[in-house]
Amino acid sequence: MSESLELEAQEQSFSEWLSFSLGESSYAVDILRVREIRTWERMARIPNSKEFLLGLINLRGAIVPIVDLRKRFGLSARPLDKETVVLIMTVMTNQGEKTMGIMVDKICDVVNLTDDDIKSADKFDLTISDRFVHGITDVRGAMAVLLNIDSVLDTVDF
Amino acid sequence: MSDPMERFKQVFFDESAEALSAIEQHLLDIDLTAIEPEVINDIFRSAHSLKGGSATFGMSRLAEFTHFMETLLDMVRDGQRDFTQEVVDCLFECLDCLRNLVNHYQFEEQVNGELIAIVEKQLQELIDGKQEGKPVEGSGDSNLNNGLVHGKHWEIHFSPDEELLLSGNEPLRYIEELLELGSVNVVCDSSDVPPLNQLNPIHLKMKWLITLDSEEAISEEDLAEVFLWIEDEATLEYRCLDQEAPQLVSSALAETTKSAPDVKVDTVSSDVDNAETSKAKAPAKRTGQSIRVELSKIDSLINLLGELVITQSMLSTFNNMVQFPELRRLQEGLGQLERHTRDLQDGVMQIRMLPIDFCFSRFPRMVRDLCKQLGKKIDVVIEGENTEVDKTVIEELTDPLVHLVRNSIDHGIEMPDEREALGKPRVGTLKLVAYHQVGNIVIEISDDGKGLAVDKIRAKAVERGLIDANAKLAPQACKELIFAAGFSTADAVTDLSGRGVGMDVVKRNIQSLGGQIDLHSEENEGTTFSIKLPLTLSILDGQLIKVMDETYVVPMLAIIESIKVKRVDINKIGEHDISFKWRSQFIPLLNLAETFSLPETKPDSEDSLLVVVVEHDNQQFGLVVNELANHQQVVVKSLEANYIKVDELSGATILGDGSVALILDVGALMSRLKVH
Amino acid sequence: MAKILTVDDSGSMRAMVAHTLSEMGHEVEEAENGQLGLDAALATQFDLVISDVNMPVMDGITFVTNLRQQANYRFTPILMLTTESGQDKKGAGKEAGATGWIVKPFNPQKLSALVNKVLK
Repeated sequence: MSESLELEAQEQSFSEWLSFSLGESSYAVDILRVREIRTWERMARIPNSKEFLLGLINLRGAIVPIVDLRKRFGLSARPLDKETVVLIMTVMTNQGEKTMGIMVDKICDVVNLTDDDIKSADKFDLTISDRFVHGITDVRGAMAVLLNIDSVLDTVDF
Repeated sequence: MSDPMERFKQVFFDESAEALSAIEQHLLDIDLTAIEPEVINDIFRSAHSLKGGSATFGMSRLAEFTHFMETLLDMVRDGQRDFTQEVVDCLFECLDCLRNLVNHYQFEEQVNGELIAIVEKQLQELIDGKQEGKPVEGSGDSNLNNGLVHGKHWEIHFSPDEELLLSGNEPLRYIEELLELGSVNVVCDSSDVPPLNQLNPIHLKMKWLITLDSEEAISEEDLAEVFLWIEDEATLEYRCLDQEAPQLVSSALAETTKSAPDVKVDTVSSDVDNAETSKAKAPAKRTGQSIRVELSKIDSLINLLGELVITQSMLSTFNNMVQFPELRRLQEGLGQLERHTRDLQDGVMQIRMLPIDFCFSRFPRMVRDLCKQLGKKIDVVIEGENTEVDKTVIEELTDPLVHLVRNSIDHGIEMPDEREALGKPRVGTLKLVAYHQVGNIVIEISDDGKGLAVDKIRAKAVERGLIDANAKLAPQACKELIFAAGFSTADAVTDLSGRGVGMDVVKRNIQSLGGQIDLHSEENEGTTFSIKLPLTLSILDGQLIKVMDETYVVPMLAIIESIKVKRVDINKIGEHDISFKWRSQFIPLLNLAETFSLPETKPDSEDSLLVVVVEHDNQQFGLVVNELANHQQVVVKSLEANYIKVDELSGATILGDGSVALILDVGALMSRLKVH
Repeated sequence: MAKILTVDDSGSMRAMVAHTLSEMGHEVEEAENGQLGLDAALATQFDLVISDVNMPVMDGITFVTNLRQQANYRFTPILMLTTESGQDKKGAGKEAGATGWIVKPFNPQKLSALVNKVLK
């Protein structure tokens, strides 16, 4: 499905991305994968889980895990504030579609990108695994890293 | 499945499964010395419905096969053939063929042509076998209809019996139907109609002379086809007006049609008698009305209900008198809501419940087949087959039970001679019992066979390296070694006990359903396996516990008791709490906060610990917790749906305040005891 | 539009008959054996009754015999579902008062043709 979504986007020759920030850095995810944006809420901690897993929330009856994206990317922790949000994402795994959340510092923009706007990230050290990265782009003069959410939230790493 | 035909097919498949098990049950129950006609009727009826349905839905191989079967059953029913053991055996084999054929059409299973050919041959032999001796009635009539007269112009004399209207027939309909064959000229002969004062309106006194002119040649059969339904209720003469047609044939035919009713009346009345008597004898087992619903629809209903339960308990947390001055009335309403929600929950869960018979019913046949193979004699006794349990539990339970039953037959019950020598009845008994016990179903499989020999098990366990040769083991612990992984291996398992699956797998399967299996065995007296399972997998009877600030759910099934243990009574090694004395023996302690690496938020100063004693695999251990909260039913949600399996957890649930609580897997926690 | 009662112990058959007849615009009621059929027929006046022969509790022949004895069902068309092997059953059905029969297997087309034959 991810492929077909991307294909569809390509046919229209542009795609929409939701950008957000972690500290000074900008990232963006495919907006078609964003189900909803929630404020921070209490979570049930998962015993003995990876450090980047914040816990589980009740999303209208479904049990949904939330990932602290800072920790996932090896960035330092930061206290929660009013702008902290959780993006509920649709993730394609080899066991089918799952719903998971990522906690980010704050959301910024929705940007429209043509294929030409998306550049290769090969020559940069983005400090995160290459498989997480779809490419880079220019958002208001600053670089934003376009994320491949299926890899970022790959349960193999959980 | 929007195509209605496909939907009807699905219903047909469900019915087939029911019909097959009904036939099987009758065959198993049959007492050849005192056969009840209703039993034969029932078997016949099941085969007959299969035939009708399969033919209708275009499943020709199934229709063909059931036709064979039906022919034999019809002969048995009519007394042309005796119901012998041979017939019973053959019918059992027919069942295998039928299952195969049904599966072929339902699941595209390969047709076992070889088996079917063999069984069809047997059927044919049984059918032919008795046909010579006993007279065959009623066949051969149809040959008379071979008058191959064709013509375009016909004259039809149609004189209905005066009672024709009483069978719901209307003569004009038949005349109208002739219009489809060509143009019609009708002359009504009303000369027999009595004067009005003597007229009885229900008696038909009219006759018709019809001439039919058609574009194409019509045979007498075509005309007979039109009047087929009333050929016995009218005198019909068909005369071909075409030059070349020989007139003799048609009048001969008229003779036969006229004389036919007299012959048939006798057979008919005896048939009606049969029907009457069988009706009188029919046992009072009129099945309840039912509808078929897809499981997914029920599941979504259950999910919604789970939400309702959560909403309801969420509302009940608003008990602030200041904020809600009309709290009392609100509370009354909430109380009612709670009761109704609970009833609704019970009701909905009930929909998914099926009698355990769905699983038990296969065993009599299986035991019978295995006995034949092994030369053993075993009676199967089933009790509590109507005990209800969730459909998914039944599905998961079937394999372990099959294994246990095979095990009893293979290793438990002795050969008849051996039993006799031991002073036991030659026929062994295998008993399957099911009953409810506070929110659980208990299933017992027991045999009166040789029981487990402690010495042999011990020797084998040593040989397999499962225990040390000098290990001290109580007899019961020793017997339970059969559940150890690696105990039953290929050479211990004959082809009967099957598929190289050991008792360890059986045990694991039961445990993964949140259940437990116990064993009781006495040498030479027999073995009983007792399985305890929750009634449903989607709702769990849970005890909420708090550890630091986190809430977890412990399945009630695992809990023995909750006690306070003084700190001084706890045995420590270094910093760790290791064990305490419970009911005069030491049991291990597991500090949940520690196991789950919880941040310490509570000062460790109290002079006693709250311990929940839980049991898994007949072994007890204590869970150290901070607080006991509610005891409540929780809706089990899978962690894997959006996350991954977590070792110590069997799932999660949503509490009244909307928060998530994790459900502990007691068995997995126990295996962590040693990790520390 | 007619009111039709279909009596059959096989749910799939009943469903097919009922579906076909409703598609034709008729109002259909179902019963799963003769006894329930009789109960239904006494509660509602049907314009046509279609019954299977082999059924538990009360078979089709007994059902039709009983139904015919009801004054309001003396002239009602009653069709029986039979199989080609049930020659003698056709006779029994007629004797009990059936109007005609429908031979299994049948498809929806054949069923509607035969139903049209008895419904004006």
